[in-house]
Amino acid sequence: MVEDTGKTLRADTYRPVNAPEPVRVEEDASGCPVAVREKRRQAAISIEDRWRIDDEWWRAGPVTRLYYAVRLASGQRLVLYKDLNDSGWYRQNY
Amino acid sequence: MSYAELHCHSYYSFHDGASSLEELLLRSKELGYRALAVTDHDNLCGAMRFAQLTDSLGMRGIIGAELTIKGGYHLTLLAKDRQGYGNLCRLITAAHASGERNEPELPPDILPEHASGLIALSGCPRGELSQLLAKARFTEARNLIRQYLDWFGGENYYLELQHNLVFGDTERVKALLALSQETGVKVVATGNVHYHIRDRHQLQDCLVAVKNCRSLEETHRERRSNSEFYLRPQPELESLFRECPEALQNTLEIAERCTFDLTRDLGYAFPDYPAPEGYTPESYLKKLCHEAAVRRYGSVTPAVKKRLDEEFRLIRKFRLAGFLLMYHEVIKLGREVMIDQGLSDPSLSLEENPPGRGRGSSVALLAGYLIGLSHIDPLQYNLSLERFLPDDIMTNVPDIDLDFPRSIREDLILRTHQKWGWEHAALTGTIATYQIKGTVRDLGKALGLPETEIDHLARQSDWGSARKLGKKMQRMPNFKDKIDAPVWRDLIRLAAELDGFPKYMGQHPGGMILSSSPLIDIVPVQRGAIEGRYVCQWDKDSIDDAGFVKIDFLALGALSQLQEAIELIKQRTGKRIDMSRIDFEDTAVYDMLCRGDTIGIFQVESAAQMQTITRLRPRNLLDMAHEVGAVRPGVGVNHGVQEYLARRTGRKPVTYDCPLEKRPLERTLGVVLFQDQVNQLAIDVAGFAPSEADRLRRAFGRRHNEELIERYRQKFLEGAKSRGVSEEAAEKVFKKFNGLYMFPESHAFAFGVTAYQAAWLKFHYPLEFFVAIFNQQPMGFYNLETLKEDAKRHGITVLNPDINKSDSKCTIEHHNVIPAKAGIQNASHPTPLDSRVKPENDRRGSGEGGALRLGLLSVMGLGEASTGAIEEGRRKGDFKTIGDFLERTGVLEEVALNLTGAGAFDSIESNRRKVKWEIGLRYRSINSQLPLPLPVEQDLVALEAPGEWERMQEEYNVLSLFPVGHIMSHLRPRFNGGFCRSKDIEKLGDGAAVTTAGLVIRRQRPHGKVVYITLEDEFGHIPCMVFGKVYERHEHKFRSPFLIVKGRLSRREGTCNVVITQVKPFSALDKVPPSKDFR
Repeated sequence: MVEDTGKTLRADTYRPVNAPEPVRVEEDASGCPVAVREKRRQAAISIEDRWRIDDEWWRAGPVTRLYYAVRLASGQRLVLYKDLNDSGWYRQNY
Repeated sequence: MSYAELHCHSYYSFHDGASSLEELLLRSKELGYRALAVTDHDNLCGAMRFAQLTDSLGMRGIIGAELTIKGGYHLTLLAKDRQGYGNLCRLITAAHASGERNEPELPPDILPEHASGLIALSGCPRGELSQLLAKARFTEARNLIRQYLDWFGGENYYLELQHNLVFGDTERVKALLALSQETGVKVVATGNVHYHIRDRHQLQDCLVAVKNCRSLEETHRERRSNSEFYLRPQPELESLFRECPEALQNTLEIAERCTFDLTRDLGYAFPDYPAPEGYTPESYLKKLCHEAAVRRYGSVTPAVKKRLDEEFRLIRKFRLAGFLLMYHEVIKLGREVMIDQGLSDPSLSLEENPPGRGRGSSVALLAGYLIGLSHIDPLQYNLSLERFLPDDIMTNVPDIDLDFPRSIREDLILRTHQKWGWEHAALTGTIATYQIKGTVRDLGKALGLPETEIDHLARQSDWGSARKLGKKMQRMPNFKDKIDAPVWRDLIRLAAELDGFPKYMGQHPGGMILSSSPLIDIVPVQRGAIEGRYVCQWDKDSIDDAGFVKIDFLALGALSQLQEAIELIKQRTGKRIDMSRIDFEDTAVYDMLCRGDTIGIFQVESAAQMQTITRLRPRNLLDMAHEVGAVRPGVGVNHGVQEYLARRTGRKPVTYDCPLEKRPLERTLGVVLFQDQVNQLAIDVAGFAPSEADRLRRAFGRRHNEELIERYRQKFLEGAKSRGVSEEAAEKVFKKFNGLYMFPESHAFAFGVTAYQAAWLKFHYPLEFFVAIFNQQPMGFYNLETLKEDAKRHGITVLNPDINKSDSKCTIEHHNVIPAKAGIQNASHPTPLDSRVKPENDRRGSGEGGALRLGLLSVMGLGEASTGAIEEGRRKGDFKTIGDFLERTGVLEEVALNLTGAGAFDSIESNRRKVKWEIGLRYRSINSQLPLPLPVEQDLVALEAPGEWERMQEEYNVLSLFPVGHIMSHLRPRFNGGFCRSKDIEKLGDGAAVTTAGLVIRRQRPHGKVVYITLEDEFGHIPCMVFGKVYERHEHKFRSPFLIVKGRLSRREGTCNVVITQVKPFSALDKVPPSKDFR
């Protein structure tokens, strides 16, 4: 159950769920992530999975992403994607 | 490492595969793949083409399919050998027999009995094994594997690993690898390919949307999630499967084991013919020929014997006796149908009244003529066997198309199914492909473009390839600004990609294949759209490649017309004309043809034919064959027609690009007119083998064929060089090949004969000719209004339908009528003077004093039920009043009103407005309560009769013609100052300025730069031409039914055209007879 905060609901307080967040990533020569830099640099010790999405190519903002599920040195599992349109890296829960 | 792709969908996976076979093969070859298997969904529609292409391109091809198993699961099957291929065909047939039509589903318990010779792969994510793993039902998964091992054997069953970077693929592959380790079943990597290059994923997305009849936005779940279903480079595959390299290695192992070659190993044999006791097929055929020769010639003359000996040498060599006798059986079946339908006299011999006509190379056989296959006596017309059936190119079955009158064809198809059984006789498939209109509609909807705009664009785009969509839009005021707009530019780009794609498989209207061994061992067969029909999955090209005996039951409207005309002549004269024995050198008939008086005459009535025949000026049947063959897209594209005519009239010399062209082209003055000449050029100039020459010719007609043609060109040049032909000359010869249609010479000959016969009838028996052509509509190039005008020019009066005089179909009335002047008289009431039946030897007489009475079926809204009711009601005597008619026939009010508009009640009451009023008062619907018999006479009022314009408008509305006149006569007052009439134009000289107006009756755009438009006024026709660019600029104006045109008169070599420079549409009627528009 979601706790009732008692706040008044307003349209401008809505925000998208699970919006991708930009993140700094170091790549190897083949474009695979080798390290992620958020608050600190963490090496990606393995890539557990990889998948790709191509959609909405008929719209102004096509979706072309290459996802990686990486295991960091800390043991944390992170899902990143590279946006193949702007070459930026983002993290997103998956 | 190398790789073989074993799971690939071509565009024959309808609305799923997004690349052609050529694209897939060429890309596979570029990527260094060792082999490619095409595994379309539940069909082998493209299998023969694929096999031919792999042969031409030097690539290993494997035949397979992705079958849908009950429950909607997918299974991949590959044919190792001939037995495996046969089993694959049977399984696909069973899948189509079990499921709903167009939703095949194979019951899995059939698999074990048809597993031999096949390799099974566990399938894509929609495979049953993958589905069980996704639900963590591991025990069932293991059981399923055991079952397939049991059915196929350990060596023939593999777990299929697919990794297309879809979320979940990694997990599934891991699970399958674990199962492989546990069970010992080998794994194999496949690409689940749906297109050849990544970018093509967009078209594939659209195809999925089209398949689901929704937009891209609405099919998010149905579409693939990414663009990874393409033929991938090997390094990428190696990276994806680096944990299990054996999966890639096993693709090669499987490819090595699949050795079946469809072009070589099919083993189709001609159907056997069970000859009567004491005979072999050959001796029985000889017997039939000799008996017919005695009937035909009085005896087996030396000429007949010599020719038959020559033919039987070929028949023996190629084992054709059974093949010809089988056609003979079909002809006999056709004869039975004709007799049952009352269309033939049982006392006549088969060759005197053949039910159909053969065309194709076999038309040159005397044996064919004698057993009723052909209507042409090759001895009489000196048709050499060598020309039509040369020994050295007899690699394929000589094909015979049999044309039948429309009325007998349906029955004949059913009887053939019954006689041979559906497993041995199936209809030919036909693949409908995307053209511009369908492309615009389907892609427009998928892309979510506004429906009304897409509808408008589609309506405006009725001609041409979808690749030209951008150019067409450029010329449309409402669309030219959208060319670079978002989504619209995607439409243009994707339309070019989709052009020519297979859309669905349907049934060929009349092609049937026959086989002694079960057909389902050779090609899958599925139910047709019509109950009781079965269709094989190959179209006629694939069937030709396979060398099947194929019979085309073609319903030729012209044959129906000739048949009916002959019957009408017999009714009038008591004598049946044997059309094979008419004078084929009648000067008067040729004079008529050379004048361009060819409306209604089979094969020579189009605008382009009319332009040509007045220049070619045929005087014999060979000329007719050249006339018929010359006006084909494949000849016109290289200016072949103009060149031939110039050489024929001596304006240009007969030349050849190299001496080796002489044998193939000498008889047509050095110009390619016929399809067979293309083959012969490839053989004589470049040394191609006959079968290869045929593949070269067909390759030109395929889409996405650029690379394939380039390979053939190189081979042609090399071959020509080895024969001493210079490169320059060889290039010139090669340029003569194109993919557009040309007739085989034998077809042209057969059609030329039929065209002459139609012309002979038109000249000597015009009344019967026109009655027959009216009754056989729709057919031909002209609407009824134009046919009516031509009938009038030939002295025939066309009479409105009449409730007391008309049958359901058009009939002859032998009244001496005063020909109705345009727009004045009512043609229902000819002035009866005397009834004359022309004596049979008055060959020109039937036109004078004869009239064509329009049948009741000519009236809009009347069908067999209504006309039957009227004819039945009339048995008790003529209808006297409107009330009497309504009561006795019980027809619907709308029917009665339409009959009024057509003038059918004029003999009872000429004021049509009054008739309609009375119908409104008296009509009682038969489904309502019993009517009170109340009087209506007190409500009948005096009403003004409709005027000429109103009657004309209504007759155009309900009859599509105006029997007594022509609309232009009513409009003439608008066009008196400075406008030429058709009869005025005849007097003008070359270069004269012309302004004229008329109703558009025909538009034709043969492949080339010129559009032919024919206008009609009350005096005749005005042939016009407009250059392509002018037409395209003003296309929307040219589409109007009424046009004012300005231009200059061009007279050349007997032709006369107004070359249009300006056009202006004008309006006249709400509804007009539609023009006939052709490419």
